[in-house]
Amino acid sequence: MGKKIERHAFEPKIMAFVCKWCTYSGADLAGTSRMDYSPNVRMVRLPCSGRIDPQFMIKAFEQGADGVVVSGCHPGDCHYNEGNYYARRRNTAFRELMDFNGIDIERIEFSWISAAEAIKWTEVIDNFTDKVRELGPHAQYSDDVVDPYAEFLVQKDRETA
Amino acid sequence: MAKIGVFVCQCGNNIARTVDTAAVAKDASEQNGVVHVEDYKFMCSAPGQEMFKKAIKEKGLDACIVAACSPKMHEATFRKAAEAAGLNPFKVEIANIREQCSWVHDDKEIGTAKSKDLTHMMIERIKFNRPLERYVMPLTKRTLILGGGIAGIQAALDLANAGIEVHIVEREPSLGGNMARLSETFPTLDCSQCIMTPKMVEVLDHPLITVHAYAELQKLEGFIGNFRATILQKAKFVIDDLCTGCGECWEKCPFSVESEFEMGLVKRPIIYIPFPQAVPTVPVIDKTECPKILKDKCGLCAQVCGPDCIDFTQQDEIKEIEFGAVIVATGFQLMPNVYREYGGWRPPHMTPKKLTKKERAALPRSGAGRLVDVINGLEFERLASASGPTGGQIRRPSDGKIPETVVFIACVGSRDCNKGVEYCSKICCMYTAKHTMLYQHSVHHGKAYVFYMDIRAGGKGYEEFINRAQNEGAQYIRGRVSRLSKKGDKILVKGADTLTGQAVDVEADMVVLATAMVPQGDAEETAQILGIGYDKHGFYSEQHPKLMPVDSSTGGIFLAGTCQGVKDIPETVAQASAAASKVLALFSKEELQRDPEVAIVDQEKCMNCWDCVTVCPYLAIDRVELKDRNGNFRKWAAQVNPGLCQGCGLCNTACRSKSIELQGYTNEQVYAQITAFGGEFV
Amino acid sequence: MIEQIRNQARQLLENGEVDVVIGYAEGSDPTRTTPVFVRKPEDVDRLIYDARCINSLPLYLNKRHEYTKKGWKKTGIIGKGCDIRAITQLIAENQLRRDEVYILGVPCEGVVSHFEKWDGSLHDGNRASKCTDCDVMIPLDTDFFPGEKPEVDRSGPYKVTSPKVANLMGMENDQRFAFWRDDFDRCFKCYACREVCPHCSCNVCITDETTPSWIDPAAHKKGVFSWHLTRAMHLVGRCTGCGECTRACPMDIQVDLFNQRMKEIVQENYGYKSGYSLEEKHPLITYKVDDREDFIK
Repeated sequence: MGKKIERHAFEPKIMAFVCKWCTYSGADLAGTSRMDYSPNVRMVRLPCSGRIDPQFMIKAFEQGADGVVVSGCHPGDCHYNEGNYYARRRNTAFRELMDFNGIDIERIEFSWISAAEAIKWTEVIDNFTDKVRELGPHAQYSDDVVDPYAEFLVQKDRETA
Repeated sequence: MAKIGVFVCQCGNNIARTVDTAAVAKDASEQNGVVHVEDYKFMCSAPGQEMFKKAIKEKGLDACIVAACSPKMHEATFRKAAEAAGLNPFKVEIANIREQCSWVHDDKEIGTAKSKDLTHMMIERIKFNRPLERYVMPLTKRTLILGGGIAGIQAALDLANAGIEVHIVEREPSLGGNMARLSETFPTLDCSQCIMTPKMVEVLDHPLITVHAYAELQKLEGFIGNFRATILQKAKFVIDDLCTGCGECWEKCPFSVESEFEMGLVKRPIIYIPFPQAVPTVPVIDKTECPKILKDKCGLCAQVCGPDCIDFTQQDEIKEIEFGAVIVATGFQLMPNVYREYGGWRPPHMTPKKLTKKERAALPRSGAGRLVDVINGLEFERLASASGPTGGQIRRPSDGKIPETVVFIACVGSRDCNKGVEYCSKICCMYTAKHTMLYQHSVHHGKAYVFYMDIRAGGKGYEEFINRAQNEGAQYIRGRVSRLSKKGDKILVKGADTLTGQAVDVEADMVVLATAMVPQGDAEETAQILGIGYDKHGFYSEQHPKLMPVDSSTGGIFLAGTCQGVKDIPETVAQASAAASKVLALFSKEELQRDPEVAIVDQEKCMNCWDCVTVCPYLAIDRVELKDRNGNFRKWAAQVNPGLCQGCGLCNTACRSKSIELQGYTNEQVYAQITAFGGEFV
Repeated sequence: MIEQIRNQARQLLENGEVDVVIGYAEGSDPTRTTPVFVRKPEDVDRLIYDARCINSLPLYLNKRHEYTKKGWKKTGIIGKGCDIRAITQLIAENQLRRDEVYILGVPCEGVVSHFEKWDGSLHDGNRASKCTDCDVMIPLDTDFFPGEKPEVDRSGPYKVTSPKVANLMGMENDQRFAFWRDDFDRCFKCYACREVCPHCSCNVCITDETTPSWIDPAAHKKGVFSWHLTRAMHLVGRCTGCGECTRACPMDIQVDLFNQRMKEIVQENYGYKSGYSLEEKHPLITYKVDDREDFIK
């Protein structure tokens, strides 16, 4: 306790998809140990990192997330034995895909955090928040979303008025 | 339209100190679908739960959010309360505003904003929670105990005496574990063999206990109540049922190798029982050494065997047995190779990997600057043991002389972040005190020195025991030893006495290291076979450090003894009995209720690519033929067996058409949660 | 060559070994061919094969299509090498049984990229990019092949055939994003890329779902990006590179660049080439303990 939270002009929104056995417990441990970490993260609790669908990450970015954290148990520690191995492959592919699409993969953080690694959790979140803050708002998805039909309606409204 | 109740807990001051719970409640009340909010001091208390139940009944709530501590703490509490009030328990969700907000953020504004956001996400999510019903599963009332040390023995006896069938899998040829090695035990100095051997015999004779000695667990499949274990029975080359344990064979065996049980202090024959009181008293042939097996020479044992029970053609055997619960009692080892630090040396007997003949030949023998008379605690136990290699006379290993001066060094490898482990090995203070007593009882004129860091003797009769050791003449020196070196046939111990601030040099005949207790060398592999968690040292993780110290992270698998953390014998026995009572509680019902958070398939949408079948770690997905009403084949589809499904959701992610879904974590629920994301970020 | 195929097809139909032969016939104008379902022996003379035979016929073997529900026990299909790769992949994914198809393999010398580019001959100017470095011009798994089938070494890794992938990878992130933003700006979500893909085999595509609405249905940036990312993600390790998605796109968006890049990634990381084995599982549903994890903290 006691770390003063500085406020910045831009505070990134970070969504974390975590496995409930390791990372969620690790984050809980950070709580019980009263560790202080960046408040920008919102966690979605899932049973396993293997349950983290790339669709969720796409959706999070669509919803205006500036960064996404994916985290689960270390290899070999998965509660379901192999879920994190699938997660690793799926994320390898997904990151490459995002990269090919020109979406900044610096904004996706993948980390193994065990239930004992409360310190690692706080470090990952703090460092990632700082990194994303540096990168600035994730404008690629949200800047100029134009719905032509909506625009047309707005214009028509104006004309009739 | 949903009728959602939101219950914000202040957790005394734990949440309220950095989260404005009233504001969170007010904000939640403005959300779509929320019809009732409460802001209360202790939601989990009896009045809090009453309030919760009353609101459900009176307002007819169809879903509830409790904004409080981690779901790991009280999700079950509130789901149970909801059930009592007539609401489906799976329509209750927890917004974790304590571990994720109040305890980690000092700033009230930030804490409040984040709490609001987390509550919003849960409100959106719960709109898609489906009411779920628990599945009822069969239960196999048979227990597997891994490890035949004192923990395994105690748990087995407790269970078997309660009428439960037990199988013990022990990797060594005999039950007993590390406790069988001990000479006498603190603080009463009663003989370990005397209290252990009757229990070992009782285990062997118990009609409900099956002992698989010289066997290993290869695979464990299934889930709580319905495990399926694959046990590898290593070939003993001796037929169990015929052997009378007469001992002709091991007396006649012309070859010998270092004895693992005696810590390499003496040799044993190649056909052997680890120690005279071994249970079962069936010898095994060490196939890595036996010349008959390696190159078809000798075979003397078979010639002398009266009942003709030696069979050199025996093969390893695989047994598959079903269990309802597993108790892990795999024990500890002393930290291998800490001698190096002190210049002494021993082969790593205690590591489970057995050295091959070639490897052993490559190791340096005594002499050559090695300090043979630096031994560890277990080796000292063997020297002091009446059944040990010296018949209870304490003689040093190098030349068999009775040592006049013995130095005991505490905290070797423990409480040492740099070279060892950072935890306190807990039992060393006590066994070192015991060693000084054993030594002085055996060598009346001998002098015992103890170099220690702190004396930690928290236990019944423990402090008194230390006092007794000191009164009996052991000289305690508070300080560390910097170096051991050879001086003539003695060992020069260079240390410091930090209480007087002086350097202390002792010329010792023998040095005994109180080496740290660490998990078995293959503890991590065993954990991976079992699918349980372990900490960074390799000790198995309990589900909750305080409230569930016996449960492993996997349902139906319980922990007993030193595999979970350092313990002395009474604690080990207590935990073993606790594990046994946990199993009894599990087996007290005729069938098992299973969480309904398992996958289900929309069979019409399923396009039977079987990706789910491939990824499922539990083989829980079947391929079924769907028929039309005339009984004609219509299409293939996947189907989940809820008894096997553990709810990992791998299939859900692998499925491209999203026709398989994990209940409790459905796509809609997660999507709703993501969609609600992005509120106020202060 | 085509005579042998026709004879074989006729025989198959006459013997009742197959119920239908799917092949190519002359199209509505001289530059075009059209897929044809030949069900009577006398119609086999309509079958042709030349460099205009672009369409990927395995599409019609995909269970998603009504054609497969007509009760045909066995389908004959004329396949060029890349199409047979698609058939192999369909079988590996359990969308088809090997004994349900009779593959009439054809030796292929490449096809044109678009019908409009056909000028009487195949040359570098109109060749489809997938044909530049093809190791299945002599097809892999056939039931019938006109003439001798020479042995071909197919052990080489997958190579990206379009130079654009390398160009894009050489760009900065922002430029790459700009490229796709400009391309996707034209997308109005007709889903032609989905309809023409032999591997899109879901009964109900998740874009058409509303519970939840996986992909924003509107054709604005969010919706279009998430559709194309999803499509590419679903084809990781499964795409056999027929290139039909790009050809079918009415707005000339080169969606198959994604697939080519992902095929490259899968090859680099997991050594997997789709469409060459009936048994091997695609890389996203298998794993190795020592898989790449350099990006994981």
